[in-house]
Amino acid sequence: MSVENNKAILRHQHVEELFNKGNLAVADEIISSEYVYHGPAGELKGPEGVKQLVTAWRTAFPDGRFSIDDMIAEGDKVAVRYTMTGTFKGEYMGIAPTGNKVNITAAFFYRFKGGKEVEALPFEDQLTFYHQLGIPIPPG
Amino acid sequence: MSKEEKNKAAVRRFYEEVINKKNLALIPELIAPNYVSHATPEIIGSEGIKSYFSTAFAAFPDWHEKIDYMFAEGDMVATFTTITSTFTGKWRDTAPTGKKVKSQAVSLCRLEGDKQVEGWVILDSLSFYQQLGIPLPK
Repeated sequence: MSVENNKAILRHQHVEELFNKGNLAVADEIISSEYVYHGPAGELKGPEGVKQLVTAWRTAFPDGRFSIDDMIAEGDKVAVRYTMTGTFKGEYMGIAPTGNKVNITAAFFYRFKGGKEVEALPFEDQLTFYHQLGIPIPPG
Repeated sequence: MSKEEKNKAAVRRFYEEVINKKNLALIPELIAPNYVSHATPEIIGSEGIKSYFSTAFAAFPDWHEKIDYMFAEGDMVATFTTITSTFTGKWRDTAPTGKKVKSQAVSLCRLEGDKQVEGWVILDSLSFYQQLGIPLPK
Protein backbone atom coordinates (compact mmCIF):
# COMPACT_ATOMS: atom_id res chain seq x y z
CA MET A 1 0.00 0.00 0.00
CA SER A 2 1.33 3.37 -0.96
CA VAL A 3 2.13 6.54 0.92
CA GLU A 4 -0.50 8.34 -1.17
CA ASN A 5 -3.10 5.72 -0.21
CA ASN A 6 -2.32 6.16 3.51
CA LYS A 7 -2.66 9.94 3.26
CA ALA A 8 -5.92 9.66 1.32
CA ILE A 9 -7.39 7.35 3.99
CA LEU A 10 -6.51 9.85 6.70
CA ARG A 11 -7.79 12.84 4.77
CA HIS A 12 -11.07 11.36 3.57
CA GLN A 13 -12.25 8.34 5.56
CA HIS A 14 -10.58 9.12 8.88
CA VAL A 15 -11.00 12.87 9.20
CA GLU A 16 -13.99 13.76 7.03
CA GLU A 17 -16.17 10.65 7.34
CA LEU A 18 -15.31 9.13 10.71
CA PHE A 19 -14.54 12.14 12.92
CA ASN A 20 -16.16 15.14 11.24
CA LYS A 21 -19.36 13.38 10.11
CA GLY A 22 -19.48 10.68 12.80
CA ASN A 23 -19.85 7.87 10.27
CA LEU A 24 -18.75 5.07 12.65
CA ALA A 25 -19.05 2.27 10.07
CA VAL A 26 -15.97 3.70 8.31
CA ALA A 27 -13.85 2.46 11.24
CA ASP A 28 -14.47 -1.13 10.10
CA GLU A 29 -12.96 -0.24 6.69
CA ILE A 30 -9.84 1.62 7.78
CA ILE A 31 -8.89 0.37 11.24
CA SER A 32 -7.08 -2.98 11.56
CA SER A 33 -8.19 -5.61 14.12
CA GLU A 34 -4.60 -5.27 15.48
CA TYR A 35 -4.93 -1.50 15.92
CA VAL A 36 -3.72 0.08 19.17
CA TYR A 37 -4.33 3.71 20.15
CA HIS A 38 -1.86 4.77 22.87
CA GLY A 39 -4.06 7.38 24.56
CA PRO A 40 -3.21 9.40 27.71
CA ALA A 41 -6.04 7.61 29.57
CA GLY A 42 -4.90 4.16 28.40
CA GLU A 43 -4.96 1.99 25.29
CA LEU A 44 -7.92 1.55 22.96
CA LYS A 45 -7.95 -1.36 20.52
CA GLY A 46 -9.36 -2.17 17.11
CA PRO A 47 -12.26 -0.60 15.21
CA GLU A 48 -14.46 -0.75 18.34
CA GLY A 49 -11.88 1.26 20.29
CA VAL A 50 -11.90 3.95 17.62
CA LYS A 51 -15.71 4.04 17.54
CA GLN A 52 -15.69 4.62 21.33
CA LEU A 53 -13.20 7.45 20.92
CA VAL A 54 -15.18 9.13 18.13
CA THR A 55 -18.47 8.77 20.04
CA ALA A 56 -16.98 10.28 23.22
CA TRP A 57 -15.48 13.19 21.29
CA ARG A 58 -18.63 13.93 19.29
CA THR A 59 -20.74 13.75 22.48
CA ALA A 60 -18.53 16.38 24.10
CA PHE A 61 -18.14 18.46 20.91
CA PRO A 62 -21.22 17.94 18.68
CA ASP A 63 -19.94 20.61 16.27
CA GLY A 64 -16.36 19.37 16.52
CA ARG A 65 -14.07 19.41 13.48
CA PHE A 66 -10.54 18.34 12.78
CA SER A 67 -8.73 20.10 9.96
CA ILE A 68 -5.37 18.96 8.64
CA ASP A 69 -2.62 21.63 8.73
CA ASP A 70 0.33 19.43 7.75
CA MET A 71 0.81 15.82 6.75
CA ILE A 72 4.20 14.11 6.41
CA ALA A 73 4.26 10.54 5.15
CA GLU A 74 7.06 8.11 4.43
CA GLY A 75 6.92 4.32 4.18
CA ASP A 76 4.28 2.99 6.57
CA LYS A 77 4.18 6.08 8.82
CA VAL A 78 2.32 9.38 8.73
CA ALA A 79 2.58 12.44 10.97
CA VAL A 80 -0.35 14.87 11.00
CA ARG A 81 -0.71 18.28 12.59
CA TYR A 82 -4.36 19.15 13.16
CA THR A 83 -6.41 22.08 14.37
CA MET A 84 -9.37 20.84 16.41
CA THR A 85 -12.27 23.23 16.90
CA GLY A 86 -15.58 22.74 18.66
CA THR A 87 -17.94 23.85 21.41
CA PHE A 88 -17.88 21.93 24.71
CA LYS A 89 -21.59 21.08 24.89
CA GLY A 90 -21.71 17.46 26.09
CA GLU A 91 -20.23 15.50 29.00
CA TYR A 92 -16.48 14.76 28.62
CA MET A 93 -14.62 12.29 30.88
CA GLY A 94 -17.53 12.53 33.35
CA ILE A 95 -17.27 16.33 33.46
CA ALA A 96 -20.22 18.60 32.75
CA PRO A 97 -19.85 20.86 29.69
CA THR A 98 -19.03 24.55 30.08
CA GLY A 99 -20.14 25.75 26.64
CA ASN A 100 -16.58 27.02 25.96
CA LYS A 101 -15.25 27.06 22.42
CA VAL A 102 -11.95 25.30 21.83
CA ASN A 103 -9.31 25.78 19.15
CA ILE A 104 -6.33 23.56 19.75
CA THR A 105 -3.37 22.06 17.93
CA ALA A 106 -3.04 18.29 18.03
CA ALA A 107 -0.52 16.05 16.34
CA PHE A 108 -0.67 12.35 15.65
CA PHE A 109 1.66 9.55 14.69
CA TYR A 110 0.00 6.86 12.56
CA ARG A 111 1.34 3.53 11.35
CA PHE A 112 -0.30 1.61 8.53
CA LYS A 113 -0.22 -2.05 7.54
CA GLY A 114 -1.98 -3.59 4.56
CA GLY A 115 -3.85 -0.37 3.82
CA LYS A 116 -5.30 -0.01 7.34
CA GLU A 117 -4.26 1.90 10.48
CA VAL A 118 -2.50 -0.32 13.05
CA GLU A 119 -1.17 2.19 15.53
CA ALA A 120 -1.81 5.77 16.62
CA LEU A 121 -0.16 8.05 19.16
CA PRO A 122 -1.75 11.41 20.02
CA PHE A 123 0.08 14.58 21.09
CA GLU A 124 -1.56 17.67 22.50
CA ASP A 125 -0.93 20.18 25.24
CA GLN A 126 -3.41 19.05 27.92
CA LEU A 127 -2.77 22.23 29.92
CA THR A 128 -4.02 24.42 27.05
CA PHE A 129 -6.92 22.05 26.47
CA TYR A 130 -8.15 22.09 30.09
CA HIS A 131 -7.78 25.90 30.23
CA GLN A 132 -9.82 26.32 27.06
CA LEU A 133 -12.46 23.86 28.25
CA GLY A 134 -12.69 25.79 31.53
CA ILE A 135 -12.50 22.67 33.69
CA PRO A 136 -10.26 21.89 36.69
CA ILE A 137 -7.02 20.10 35.94
CA PRO A 138 -7.03 16.57 37.40
CA PRO A 139 -4.28 15.93 39.99
CA GLY A 140 -1.14 14.36 38.55
CA MET B 1 21.31 11.54 -1.38
CA SER B 2 17.67 12.59 -1.74
CA LYS B 3 16.41 15.86 -0.30
CA GLU B 4 14.50 13.88 2.34
CA GLU B 5 17.62 11.96 3.44
CA LYS B 6 19.66 15.18 3.65
CA ASN B 7 16.94 16.89 5.66
CA LYS B 8 16.63 13.98 8.08
CA ALA B 9 20.42 13.97 8.55
CA ALA B 10 20.38 17.73 9.30
CA VAL B 11 17.57 17.39 11.85
CA ARG B 12 19.20 14.32 13.40
CA ARG B 13 22.38 16.37 13.80
CA PHE B 14 20.41 19.04 15.69
CA TYR B 15 19.13 16.45 18.17
CA GLU B 16 22.45 14.65 18.59
CA GLU B 17 24.80 17.64 18.66
CA VAL B 18 22.84 20.64 19.87
CA ILE B 19 20.36 19.02 22.22
CA ASN B 20 22.10 15.90 23.48
CA LYS B 21 25.69 17.21 23.46
CA LYS B 22 24.70 20.82 24.33
CA ASN B 23 26.73 22.22 21.41
CA LEU B 24 24.99 25.60 21.11
CA ALA B 25 27.73 26.96 18.80
CA LEU B 26 26.40 24.70 16.04
CA ILE B 27 22.98 26.38 16.01
CA PRO B 28 23.66 29.02 13.29
CA GLU B 29 24.76 26.18 10.98
CA LEU B 30 21.46 24.32 11.40
CA ILE B 31 18.89 27.08 12.02
CA ALA B 32 18.18 29.86 9.49
CA PRO B 33 18.31 33.54 10.56
CA ASN B 34 14.62 33.92 9.65
CA TYR B 35 13.59 30.69 11.45
CA VAL B 36 10.24 30.74 13.26
CA SER B 37 9.11 28.22 15.85
CA HIS B 38 5.37 28.45 16.27
CA ALA B 39 5.43 28.24 20.04
CA THR B 40 3.85 30.61 22.56
CA PRO B 41 5.72 32.94 22.53
CA GLU B 42 7.27 32.44 19.08
CA ILE B 43 10.97 31.68 18.91
CA ILE B 44 12.72 33.60 16.11
CA GLY B 45 16.00 32.86 14.37
CA SER B 46 19.12 31.07 15.44
CA GLU B 47 19.54 33.65 18.23
CA GLY B 48 16.09 32.84 19.55
CA ILE B 49 16.82 29.12 19.54
CA LYS B 50 20.20 29.62 21.19
CA SER B 51 18.62 31.70 23.94
CA TYR B 52 15.81 29.18 24.42
CA PHE B 53 18.12 26.18 24.81
CA SER B 54 20.62 28.10 26.90
CA THR B 55 17.88 28.80 29.45
CA ALA B 56 16.52 25.25 29.22
CA PHE B 57 19.91 23.58 29.72
CA ALA B 58 20.67 25.77 32.75
CA ALA B 59 17.60 24.31 34.44
CA PHE B 60 17.79 20.86 32.82
CA PRO B 61 21.49 20.12 32.20
CA ASP B 62 20.86 16.43 31.41
CA TRP B 63 18.08 17.15 28.86
CA HIS B 64 18.17 14.23 26.45
CA GLU B 65 16.02 13.32 23.48
CA LYS B 66 15.92 9.82 22.03
CA ILE B 67 14.56 9.73 18.51
CA ASP B 68 11.78 7.13 18.37
CA TYR B 69 10.68 7.83 14.79
CA MET B 70 11.88 10.21 12.09
CA PHE B 71 10.43 10.49 8.64
CA ALA B 72 10.42 13.06 5.87
CA GLU B 73 8.41 14.15 2.87
CA GLY B 74 9.23 17.06 0.59
CA ASP B 75 10.81 19.81 2.68
CA MET B 76 9.25 18.62 5.99
CA VAL B 77 10.68 16.31 8.65
CA ALA B 78 8.65 14.75 11.46
CA THR B 79 10.57 13.64 14.56
CA PHE B 80 9.01 11.80 17.50
CA THR B 81 11.17 11.76 20.62
CA THR B 82 11.24 10.60 24.22
CA ILE B 83 12.55 13.39 26.43
CA THR B 84 14.21 12.70 29.76
CA SER B 85 15.65 15.28 32.14
CA THR B 86 16.15 16.26 35.77
CA PHE B 87 15.10 19.67 37.11
CA THR B 88 18.27 20.82 38.86
CA GLY B 89 18.66 24.52 38.00
CA LYS B 90 16.36 27.52 38.42
CA TRP B 91 13.81 27.92 35.60
CA ARG B 92 12.07 31.32 35.32
CA ASP B 93 11.04 32.05 38.94
CA THR B 94 10.80 28.42 39.95
CA ALA B 95 13.38 26.77 42.18
CA PRO B 96 14.53 23.32 41.03
CA THR B 97 12.75 20.33 42.54
CA GLY B 98 15.34 17.70 41.61
CA LYS B 99 12.58 15.60 40.05
CA LYS B 100 12.86 13.68 36.79
CA VAL B 101 10.60 13.82 33.76
CA LYS B 102 10.05 11.32 30.96
CA SER B 103 7.65 12.38 28.25
CA GLN B 104 7.15 12.29 24.51
CA ALA B 105 7.16 15.07 21.95
CA VAL B 106 6.70 15.57 18.25
CA SER B 107 8.56 18.16 16.20
CA LEU B 108 7.62 19.03 12.65
CA CYS B 109 10.11 21.16 10.78
CA ARG B 110 10.49 22.65 7.35
CA LEU B 111 13.93 23.05 5.82
CA GLU B 112 15.23 25.30 3.05
CA GLY B 113 18.73 24.60 1.80
CA ASP B 114 20.43 22.87 4.71
CA LYS B 115 18.70 24.77 7.47
CA GLN B 116 15.49 24.62 9.48
CA VAL B 117 13.27 27.62 8.66
CA GLU B 118 10.01 26.79 10.42
CA GLY B 119 9.01 24.47 13.23
CA TRP B 120 6.21 23.20 15.43
CA VAL B 121 6.70 21.27 18.65
CA ILE B 122 3.70 19.57 20.22
CA LEU B 123 3.98 18.05 23.66
CA ASP B 124 1.92 17.75 26.81
CA SER B 125 3.22 20.53 29.05
CA LEU B 126 0.87 19.35 31.82
CA SER B 127 2.82 16.09 32.01
CA PHE B 128 6.06 18.09 32.46
CA TYR B 129 4.67 20.36 35.19
CA GLN B 130 3.22 17.40 37.09
CA GLN B 131 6.23 15.09 36.86
CA LEU B 132 8.66 17.88 37.78
CA GLY B 133 6.51 19.17 40.67
CA ILE B 134 6.27 22.69 39.19
CA PRO B 135 3.19 24.78 40.11
CA LEU B 136 0.86 25.13 37.12
CA PRO B 137 0.68 28.58 35.49
CA LYS B 138 -2.60 30.46 36.08
